Amino acid sequence: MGEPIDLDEIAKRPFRYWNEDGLTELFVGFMMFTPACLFRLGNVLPKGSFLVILLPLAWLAAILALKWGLKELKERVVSPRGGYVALPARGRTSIALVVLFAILAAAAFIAFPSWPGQSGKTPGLALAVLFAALFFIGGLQAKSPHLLVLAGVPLLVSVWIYRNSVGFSESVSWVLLAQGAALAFSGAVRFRRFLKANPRVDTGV
Amino acid sequence: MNELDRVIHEPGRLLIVALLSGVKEADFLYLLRETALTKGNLSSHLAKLEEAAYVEIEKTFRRKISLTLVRLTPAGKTAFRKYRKAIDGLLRHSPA
Repeated sequence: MGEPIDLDEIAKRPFRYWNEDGLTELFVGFMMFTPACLFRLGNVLPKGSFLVILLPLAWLAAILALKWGLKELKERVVSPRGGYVALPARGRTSIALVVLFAILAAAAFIAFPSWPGQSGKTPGLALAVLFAALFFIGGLQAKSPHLLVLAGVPLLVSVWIYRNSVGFSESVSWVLLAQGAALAFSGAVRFRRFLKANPRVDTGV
Repeated sequence: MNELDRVIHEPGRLLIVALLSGVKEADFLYLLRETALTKGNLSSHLAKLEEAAYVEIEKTFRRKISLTLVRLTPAGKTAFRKYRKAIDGLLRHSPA
């Protein structure tokens, strides 16, 4: 029978292939980077300016543009080179959990300034530790050393936040900015590598 | 060994079915890349799997480029599940 086939490993390959081109990282990186940039822009705008109201809309527009861009790149650039794969749709439970987590995070973010004894640095530090843990676990699970390197970015930012006097929203935006930029950079490098390693092919089928 | 589904048991087809078990659908190029089979071999294995009603093959066009989509049918999913169960049982009862 030859070497035994690891069926579990084979079943995971499509998921790995989906992330191999670096586009997901690029997308998530911009998803973090964009709100952080818009937030910093909001800080320099004059108080009470109507432009501040447009910032969430700009973020929404950026998300839609990024989603469209990701789909186009996958279809036009990635699929003709490495093939097309559609992963199974997420289950209702997993979508519900993501929505619940987002609501709880937003609620904590809004309520935090009124908590007694809070320090302005805490949310940024908490977010940095959360990101570091997520990337570390993800890196070990996916056996991706670059994710372990990416786990180091929020930790470095957290050291900087800890040593400097930064406020509540500023600390959060620096974490998002640094992690988003690192992710986008790593995604762009991996996308370039993918293009080099996978020239466009014609199967003739 | 009699319990094993001979259609799936062949290594090339087992690889195809295992790959398809983790996706909604995949195209010919992706299967070609992952299985490292030749185009002829892959086509022949897919034809056998289609004959057994384990996969569904759809020839379509996307952005004016031909696309051969392959997906596991419910019968294919069941057969793969049964195959895994059977092979696990065999491995468990085989002498070390």
